[in-house]
Amino acid sequence: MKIMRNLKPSAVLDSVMKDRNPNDEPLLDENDPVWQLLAKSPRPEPDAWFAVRTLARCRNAGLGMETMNFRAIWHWALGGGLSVCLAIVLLVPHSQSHSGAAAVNQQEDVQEAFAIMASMDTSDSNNSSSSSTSTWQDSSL
Amino acid sequence: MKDEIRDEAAKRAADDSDAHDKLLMTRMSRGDEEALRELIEKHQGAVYGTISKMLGDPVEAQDLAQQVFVRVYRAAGSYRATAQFKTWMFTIVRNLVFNEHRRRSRATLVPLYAPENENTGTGSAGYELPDTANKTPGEDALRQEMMKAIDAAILALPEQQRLAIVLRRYDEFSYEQIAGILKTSVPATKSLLFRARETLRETLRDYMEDK
Repeated sequence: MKIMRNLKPSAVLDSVMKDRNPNDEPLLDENDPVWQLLAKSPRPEPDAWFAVRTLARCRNAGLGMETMNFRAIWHWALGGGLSVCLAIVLLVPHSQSHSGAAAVNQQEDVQEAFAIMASMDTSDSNNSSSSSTSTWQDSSL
Repeated sequence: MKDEIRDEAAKRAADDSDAHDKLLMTRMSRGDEEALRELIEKHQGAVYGTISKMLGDPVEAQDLAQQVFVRVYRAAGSYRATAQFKTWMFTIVRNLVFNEHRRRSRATLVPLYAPENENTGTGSAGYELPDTANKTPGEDALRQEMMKAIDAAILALPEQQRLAIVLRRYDEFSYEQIAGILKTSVPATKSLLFRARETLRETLRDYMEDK
């Protein structure tokens, strides 16, 4: 210890630091030369008008706008999401039944058209059985 | 042990101050501008000083410090006193400063003023007059040079270490408070401080030997 007393603080710290690891308790702040050196560059202070300017800026920003916006967005998002879900739940079965009915109608239309064509075909064959120019006998159909 | 006793004393003093801050926040939520003024005047030194040390740019520090108070003011209505007010406010400081670092790392910024006239660390955007009392010009130049070297060494630290050392050294925050602000554990905070001191000790070795 006597030998240590004759050394400079930084040299003492060097010898102490060598055997330390980051999980050890830190050295006492007051005894740390780094700590003492940092005090020589004091923390900067704001100028005299800083508070006045900041107060004016806060006044312009308005009170609670940020929190109100977040709350409003949250409420609107929740309400909107529920409305969309409800609309989907209500509309999907309806549209499915609607499209099912439309398909049935379309099938009926096709059957009716075939029936008309068939009746036209039989009437043509009755009227002119030798005619081979009928469009209904076209093989492309 | 001495550190812990000091932390305990600081904690008791901080509790009284914290209760007063929370009262000011309640008054602010009701639109009391006098409470806002009081809060700004109480914390402007710590907020501006910390940001200035973190960025090394007094002009940018003024803008960010104002943004901190604007956010505090706007959040007054929704503020819930779950943590210490100062810890909560310095979490805003941390977020803004780290965002600014990210912005700066993406863009190359050119200062408008010449580096020779830069008054880094002494703050007040170059308004501070040199302290010539009891000092020769040579001593003053040496002091200025040392201050620049200290500020440069702090600025060279990684951002987490830098904030930890600034909060501990200049704002006298406890390890628990720093851990709360940095969103880390107390052992991790101690480790950050240890590594920061090690780096600073190495960088500023010449100035420590001159003492």
